Amino acid sequence: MADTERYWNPVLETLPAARLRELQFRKFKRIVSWAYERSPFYRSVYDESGFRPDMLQTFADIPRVPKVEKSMLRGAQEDKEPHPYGDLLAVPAERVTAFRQTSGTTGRPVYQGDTWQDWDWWAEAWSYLLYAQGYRSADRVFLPFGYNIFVAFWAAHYAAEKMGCEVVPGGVLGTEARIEKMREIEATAFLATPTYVLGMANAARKMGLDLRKDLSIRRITCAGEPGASIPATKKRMEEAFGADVYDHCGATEIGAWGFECDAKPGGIHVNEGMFLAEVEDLKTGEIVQEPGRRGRLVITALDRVGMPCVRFDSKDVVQWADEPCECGRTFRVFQGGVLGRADDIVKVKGVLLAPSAIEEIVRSFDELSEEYQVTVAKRGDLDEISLKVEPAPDFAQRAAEVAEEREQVIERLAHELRVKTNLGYKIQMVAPESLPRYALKAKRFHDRRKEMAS
Amino acid sequence: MTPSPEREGWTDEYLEELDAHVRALRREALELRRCAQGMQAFTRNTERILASVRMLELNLSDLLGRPVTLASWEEGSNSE
Repeated sequence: MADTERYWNPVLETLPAARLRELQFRKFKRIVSWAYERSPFYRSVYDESGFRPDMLQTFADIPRVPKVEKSMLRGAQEDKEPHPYGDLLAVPAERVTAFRQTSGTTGRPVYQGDTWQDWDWWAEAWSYLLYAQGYRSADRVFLPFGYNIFVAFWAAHYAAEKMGCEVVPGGVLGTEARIEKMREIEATAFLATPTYVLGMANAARKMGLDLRKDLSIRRITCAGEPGASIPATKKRMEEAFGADVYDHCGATEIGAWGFECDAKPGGIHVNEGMFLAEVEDLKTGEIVQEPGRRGRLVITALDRVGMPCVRFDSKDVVQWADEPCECGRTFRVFQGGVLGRADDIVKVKGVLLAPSAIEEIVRSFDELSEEYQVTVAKRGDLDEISLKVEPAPDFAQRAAEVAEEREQVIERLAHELRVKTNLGYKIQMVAPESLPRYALKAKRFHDRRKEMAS
Repeated sequence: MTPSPEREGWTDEYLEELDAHVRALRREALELRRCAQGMQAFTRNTERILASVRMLELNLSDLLGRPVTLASWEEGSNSE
């Protein structure tokens, strides 16, 4: 395959590592100066810590640049002019052509003001990822998301257009109408959160459709949740639609920084031509270079001008892969994608637990539906984990008749969980479809210990 | 410029040739914006062209080490 057929930009995507670092450092210095000179927020953060852009002499100086995090971004917008972007804005307010905001799951939303150039940049980053996942101009791409104030798949829409695909906006339709439309027009690809992909599969089943035969979907790109990098969840989605499922990582404040390629390396490439990814040890904060050691991702968007994102503590937990990807890209890979959130990893009974580990185990059981709910609570002084699961539609009827089969599944599940997470669980199989369903960001893990203590 | 089909890899000479075209595009767009004297139909469309030119710079010119401004709408960068 010629490299122009494989890569969106063969020059950058196969650049030798040394030259890539050189490029990243040059671009990093430029964005740091830009942020310092034009954003009151960055100037104040850097001045307060005694940092000046001219202190950046070599790549090793990068950690000298103060990190920023979401709570700081919120603070820089509250009651600050120009409303609502405040001190984060690095361009005159009249340069802003697009408003988006974060979901506000962890507090007051961050308002994102982007210039037209920034939206071109969003689409460019998405073009790298869609091309890497096999999207081509012959694709008819369906976008089943609410076109609203959240970034979601807006940039996918613009990128697919830029690439010459045919884009179908599935905005205000309900799930069944979206499935019908995808069937009617023979859409070849769509993009959604893993939760929604599985929700669509369930809805289609109820409509009496066989997605593998009745639809023409060949590839699905997921974002918003880590599911497409969790093997059991990916497998469920791929089997339901008979399509390739790919992961993508990004965030409103950062941009579309990572993507799984069609070689499916079991992880995601960082787009190192447009982003600088640093991994910090979870405890010591030292920069992690070696593969297989987990750390939190600190990331810089190297070309974003309206509201720069420099050394942003994403709180995503990642680890470098030890092997280069067979696709030939020199952009490095995070093994397993985003493994969790630094603030999601909790200590239960003295053991570190990542909620994604529970998902991987639950969804590896064909007898169970994809929904589950975990609650950590205190019983006296002891932590107790309750896990509610649902039977899958095929298993539900059998389990209702033969209680023994249900018990066997619960027993196997408890065993798997104990082996893989080193913890014991109080498991309950609840009625089919009784657990909450989510359209956007799912909240399946609840830690009630703090509220019980207060 | 006629790219040679026998060329091996993306040589710096070849990339420099491509970049010369990118710089010419930027120069021409900036000049058009200046000549339009605030006529919105030209100013706004030229701004969009300049943003696209910035994407070409991001994909190529930044690599070549010549100073390139981050803001597509500003003068005095890769156009000289």
